[in-house]
Amino acid sequence: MRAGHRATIPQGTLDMLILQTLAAHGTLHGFEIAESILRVSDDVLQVEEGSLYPALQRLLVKGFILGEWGRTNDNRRARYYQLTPEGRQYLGLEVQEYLRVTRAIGRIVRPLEA
Amino acid sequence: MRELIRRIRYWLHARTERAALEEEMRLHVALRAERLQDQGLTPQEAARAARRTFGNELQLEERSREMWIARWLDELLRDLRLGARGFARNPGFTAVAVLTLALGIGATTGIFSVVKSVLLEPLAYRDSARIVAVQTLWTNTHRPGNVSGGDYPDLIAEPSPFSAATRYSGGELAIEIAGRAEFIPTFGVDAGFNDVFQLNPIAGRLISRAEFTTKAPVILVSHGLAASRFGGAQQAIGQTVKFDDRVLTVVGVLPAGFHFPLKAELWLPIFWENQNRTAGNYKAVAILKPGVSLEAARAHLSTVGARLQQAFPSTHRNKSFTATPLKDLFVERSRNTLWLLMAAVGLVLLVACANVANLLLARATARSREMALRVALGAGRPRLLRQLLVESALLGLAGGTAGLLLAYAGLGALLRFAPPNLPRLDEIRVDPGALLFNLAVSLAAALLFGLWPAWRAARAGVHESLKQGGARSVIGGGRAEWARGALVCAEIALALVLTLGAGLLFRSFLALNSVELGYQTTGRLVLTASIPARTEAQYLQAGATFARILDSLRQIPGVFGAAGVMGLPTGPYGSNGLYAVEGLHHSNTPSDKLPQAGFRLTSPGYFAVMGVPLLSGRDFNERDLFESEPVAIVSAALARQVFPGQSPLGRRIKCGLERDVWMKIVGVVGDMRNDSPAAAPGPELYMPYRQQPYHANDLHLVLRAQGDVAHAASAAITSIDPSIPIKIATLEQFHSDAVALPRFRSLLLIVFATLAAVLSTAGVYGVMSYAAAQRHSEMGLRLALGATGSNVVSLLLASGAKLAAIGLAIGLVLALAAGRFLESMLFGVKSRDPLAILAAAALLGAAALLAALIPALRAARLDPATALRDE
Repeated sequence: MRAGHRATIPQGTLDMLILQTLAAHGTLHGFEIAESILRVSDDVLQVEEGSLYPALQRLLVKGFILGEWGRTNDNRRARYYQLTPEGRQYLGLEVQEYLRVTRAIGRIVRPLEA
Repeated sequence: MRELIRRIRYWLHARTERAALEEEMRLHVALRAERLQDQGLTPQEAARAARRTFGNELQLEERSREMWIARWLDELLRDLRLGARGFARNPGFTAVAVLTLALGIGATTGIFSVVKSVLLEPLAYRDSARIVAVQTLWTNTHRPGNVSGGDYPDLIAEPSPFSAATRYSGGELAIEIAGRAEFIPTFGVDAGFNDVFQLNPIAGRLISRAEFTTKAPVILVSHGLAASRFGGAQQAIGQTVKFDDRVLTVVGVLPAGFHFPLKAELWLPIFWENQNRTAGNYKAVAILKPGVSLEAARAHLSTVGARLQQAFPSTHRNKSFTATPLKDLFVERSRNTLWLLMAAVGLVLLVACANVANLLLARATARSREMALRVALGAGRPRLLRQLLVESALLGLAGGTAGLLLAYAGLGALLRFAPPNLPRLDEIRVDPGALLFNLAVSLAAALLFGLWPAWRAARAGVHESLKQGGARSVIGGGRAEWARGALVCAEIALALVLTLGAGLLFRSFLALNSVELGYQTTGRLVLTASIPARTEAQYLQAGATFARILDSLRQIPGVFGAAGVMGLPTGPYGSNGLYAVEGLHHSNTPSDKLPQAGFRLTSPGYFAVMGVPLLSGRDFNERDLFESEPVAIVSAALARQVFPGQSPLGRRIKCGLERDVWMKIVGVVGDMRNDSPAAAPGPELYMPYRQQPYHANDLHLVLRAQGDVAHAASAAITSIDPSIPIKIATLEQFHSDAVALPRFRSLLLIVFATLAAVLSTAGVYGVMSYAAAQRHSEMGLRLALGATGSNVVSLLLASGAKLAAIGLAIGLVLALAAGRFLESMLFGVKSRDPLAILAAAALLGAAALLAALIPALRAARLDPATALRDE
């Protein structure tokens, strides 16, 4: 596998990644969230714009994030998102579940590790 | 919950939210482009690449929006909004469509409410499904009859399928309360009465078993009676009333709304015991034991019948017994009528739907360009279909709501004109079930009238409609014309069925009303009077009192004749039974060989007052008293029955009414239809009321009078004996009540037929107008080429006449087929009556031609030049 090749984000984990990003970095707008995920994942996980905004809307519906209009550094209008208590709670449960499943999978595939 | 609020808030601000999202995405694209520029792309390349990463923006927005509102819901709301706006822009169309639907759906809901309340709802008693009427079943005629006092104990003896049973008998009897005598529905019942209806008094207690056995002087009264006569339920306990010279005490009050049987207000232990096995004096009800089926009960009663037939072969030869669910008994007579009305109103609804479908077809032509545009922009045909159906549903629900209001109002009017003997009249209401039905019918109607127009509109070809001048021809002149014409033909056909039905019923009613009754009904006043009596002396005295009353009544100015009768035609009670003729029948002639006749007690002058001809012999006179030689008068039918070809005068006759004596026949009178105008006159045996006193203390006094003598009459009676209760009515009123049901039926059907006729005529007018407008330019051309106005008129009229003819032909076939179901309700006219059919067809045909004529005349007055120019 070539280093630097970007992978698609597995289905279902995008929500978790967005929430985690907001939990770690406070208030961000859409572009910043996508950039953050790319950067923190070491350039592996590229967020499709086509999935990002629907995901953000979904999280808004569920009340896990709040959106507020503000100004960027160069004075452009942008919608800034932040985590809500319900979102934080949901994030905790999702991460827990994800790690549990990943560890279980890991236990099965580990013998194949060279 | 909070999520729902968030969603609703989003929907309310949908437009701003959409704009916000667009702005957000624009920023994202700009930032992405800057990023790409940093990586070395030119500004244009960067901008293009950035936009590409976003993909189809429209789809993105749709997907984002779908997070908030499910797509189907979003589309539905949009369709509703657009549909409502479209209707608001065409107020004329919308008003006509909604009104038409309101009439059809409202009428349907109204009649359904009646059907549901009367036929479908269980009776208001506890476990009413298990309450049955126990009846005698005559196996030779298959008709049910009353139960005799002698047979009754065998029917309910254990082992029996009933956990409780009671006899009952009574009617409007003279009761004296607080010194005032009046007629109150009073019934004698048995000890089982408490348990059959599982009664719970709201004051006092029930009559005890011991009191039933000893026939103690105690009574129960209804809540209504207690409130109106004694001031309340509690206050009624301990009060007394007088009946037949006995003082009775109120011991309990039954709950409001309980009036079994037949509007009863007062109940007491059965007061008239007759253990005879051949006299059917009682009715009986019972409640089945839990788990016992109706069939089992019927089987048991058949067995009892067989056993009694063996034990008493001469009297019980054709007698068996049966049980009928009480509800069926109540509603039996009106069942056919109610279903008839339901069918009629269904036809009206179909006609209304056809009209609205026509309207929609016309409207679709105007919207064809809009539809074609949407198809070209990517809306699928199913999507269009869905939108149009949503619009139809909107129309249907609007019509249904308006119809509901009409139904409420209509029911109010209906109840006022309904025959008083329609069962369960006071239970008729628009209940939640009817509301649900209204909703269902609204949606079903929407589907019915909306599907075809929607289908056609959605299928419209794109190319033709977007061409210039295409709006007129899109749904294709020929094809659309055919569709609308077909609908109108269907309307006319259905309207013909209804009109014919209404005509037949109306003619039946007229025939019933004018049937030769054998007596006169106009100008006759009827006073119902009752003199309480218990001992023989009192009964005889009552006879004398009535004689004095009749004399006094004859003195009143304006009164031409006064007479009394027990057994008034179409009156509330009468008597019948077996009779024997001396020389023809002997004491050992078995009962089933004896002839039957009606028994009536009359005073001298009765036949003259009623306008019945005296065919031979004489009428009764003042000398025919109790001590005198017993005499009788027979009707012509009876004379034909047992004295064919001979004179009955002087022969002797005997009957089982009261006194077992031979009576000398002194006269023969003409036949009277005593029971109902529809029944043929039967043999009648008349006896002087003073010679059969036990049945003669309740009389109907008939006065032939001119002017308002009612006051003078009741004053005359009161001055002789103020304790005699009186009810006054005219003989016409009695007669009118007897034909109330046929009158009600024909009235309603006329209303529905008129509705259907008006709607179908409007339909013809609409289609013809539209067709004429379509052929505007063609007519203009013809006129320019030399055609006269009348040529144009006949051309257009011909197409209208063709429609009408086809519709009438189809309607005729349907009507003849449906006529079979009407037969049982017709009197004096057959369902295939050619006169009625011709009249109905002519009426509708004329209306249709008139409706086609008007647009044709308008077209003839066209200015050819303008017509051709308006291409």
